[in-house]
Amino acid sequence: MYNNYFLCSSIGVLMSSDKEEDPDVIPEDSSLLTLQIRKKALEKREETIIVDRACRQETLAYEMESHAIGKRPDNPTDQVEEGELLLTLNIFYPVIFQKHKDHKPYQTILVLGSQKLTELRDSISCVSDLQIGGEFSSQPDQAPEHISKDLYKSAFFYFEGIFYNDRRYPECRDLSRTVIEWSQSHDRGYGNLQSVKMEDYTFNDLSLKIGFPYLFCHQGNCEHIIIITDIRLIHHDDCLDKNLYPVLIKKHWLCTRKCFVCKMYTARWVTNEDSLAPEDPCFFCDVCFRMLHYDAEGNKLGDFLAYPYVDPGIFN
Amino acid sequence: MTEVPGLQADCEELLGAFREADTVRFERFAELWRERRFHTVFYGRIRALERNKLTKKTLEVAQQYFLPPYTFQIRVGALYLLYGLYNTQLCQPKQKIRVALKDWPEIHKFQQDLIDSQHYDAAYIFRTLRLARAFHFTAMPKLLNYRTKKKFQESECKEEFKDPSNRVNSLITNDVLEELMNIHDHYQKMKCVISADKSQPDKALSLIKDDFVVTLKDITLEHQEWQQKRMKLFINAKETDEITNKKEERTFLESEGSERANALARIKYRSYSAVVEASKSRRHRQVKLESSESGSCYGKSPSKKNSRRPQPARRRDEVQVARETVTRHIGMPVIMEEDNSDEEGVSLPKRKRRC
Repeated sequence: MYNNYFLCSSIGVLMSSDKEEDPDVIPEDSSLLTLQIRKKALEKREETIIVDRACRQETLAYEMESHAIGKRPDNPTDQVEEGELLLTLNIFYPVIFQKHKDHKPYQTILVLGSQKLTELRDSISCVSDLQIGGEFSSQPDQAPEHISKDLYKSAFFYFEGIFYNDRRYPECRDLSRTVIEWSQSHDRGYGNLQSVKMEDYTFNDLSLKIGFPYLFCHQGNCEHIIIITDIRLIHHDDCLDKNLYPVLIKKHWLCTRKCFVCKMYTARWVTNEDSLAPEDPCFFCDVCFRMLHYDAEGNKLGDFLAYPYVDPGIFN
Repeated sequence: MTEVPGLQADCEELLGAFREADTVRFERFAELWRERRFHTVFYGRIRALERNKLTKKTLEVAQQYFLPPYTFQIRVGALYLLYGLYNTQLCQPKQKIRVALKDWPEIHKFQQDLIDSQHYDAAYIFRTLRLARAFHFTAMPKLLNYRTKKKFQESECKEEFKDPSNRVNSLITNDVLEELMNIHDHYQKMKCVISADKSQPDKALSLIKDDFVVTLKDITLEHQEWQQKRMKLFINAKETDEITNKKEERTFLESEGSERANALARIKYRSYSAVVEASKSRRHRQVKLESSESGSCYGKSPSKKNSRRPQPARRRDEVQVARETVTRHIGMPVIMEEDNSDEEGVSLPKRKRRC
């Protein structure tokens, strides 16, 4: 039998005996090509960089990636079981800006296999859910309390030929019915599309392809592509608190649109056909909007249409 | 994930040395590892986010050699390599080694082989890794990412096809300067015509600097000089880069072309300028140019901004500009330039041959 005692100290065998090494310093005489190249790259960066520290986007990205690692629940019954599956999903934003043609922004969510589809649906944050419908130029103080998320609760997922509709509330409708009827009306080659309830299924019940685009649709026409990038067994170092899942680990940073006047505050109003504004549409923060469009008594000045505006960067 | 440049070469070198040692003993591997001080492969001032990516990628590269179709000895070497990398990584918590579902039976068989052939050190190393929870058991071997191909190519090109971004020179070209000069002259003439004294314009009409075209030209030349200085610094830094001969030729060609275009621009505008200083300094620069061209001109001047245009088109453009200016130059009968035309003549055939 081999001498295991020797191997116990094998990690020490791999490291240098010199304990005072600083991992930030690349050794001068290294034979490794990786280090030579890295050294040049770092030196070049030193030459041009003005301030060498993590910008806030990087700090945010790192925090998001690592904030849930290793967490344990207070209550042992909330602990994730061994053998649980962990899925990594990329959920793409519905925006279609010109600059996003090649590289669509997305958020990354980790979800457990034993979780229901509705749990994922609830955790997806989309700016269209916060929209307030309606024109409010005549009564700017009466912005309604209901956001779109409360009004239009229907949503569905589409995985492998089956539509999983959210039917938890009486207001929810089967949005997929239109598609299914269309597909059945002629032989369109889509096979048999089915519609089932989202709340009855967990991820473990599904057959999924990795890297294949699926769909999430809510608000009637707000569509998000979903791609599953990884499925693996849960690991000791992962977050083991069931209540924290689904957990968001990556998000695209969207710049917020600022008020046209002060350029400081995020826009909360958008106007169309505004005789007082230089462009159409024009964005204003609350203060500037009222100062420009209403007099001291609150009377509407000039002609315009005003809508409450929710910026996509609100989730930053 | 972006590649870790040089890593594959280093891993292959180490595994190659292990193979030549013709053994599967861990002690021997450890010796080779220590010789190269391989644990330093993670060194360098890198922040946590980037370090995570880097380590993941490093483990991924090493893991490739652990599976078939590599030979038994290489696979054992890869096992030791993974063990070394996993334990000497600097991330906290440690990045894991991905094992796909389809590969697991194969790895299990491998472990069984190790035990059966009494390679207990390798088996022990594997068992240690398992106990340390070093593996992520995944459905697919590679983690998907969505870097579009375009981005990849751009960064590769940036590495090897550094383009001297002659944006100033492409804006202030021969034609532009000539046009400006013509307009300027015409303007001066018009001013004279409407002035009382026909030989010079009224003082009241002097609204612009008379010598602004010359000043513009000088500024352009200064920029050129500065770029060359930077390029020299960059060349010194880039000397150890691995660039194939073909690319060398191409970059040489391109830098020649753009250099020549600028040199000719300078020659041409000497005739518009009355400043003696400029001509002297230009001739001095001419000499410098030649020596830098004939020297180790492998590198490229660093581009200040990212050039988004596709590389081949740009090269063609610059070479064409050079060609055009050359033909025009040959037609210009200026005595001083004969020296230069000889130098140009010498390098011209060189260039043709490469074409």
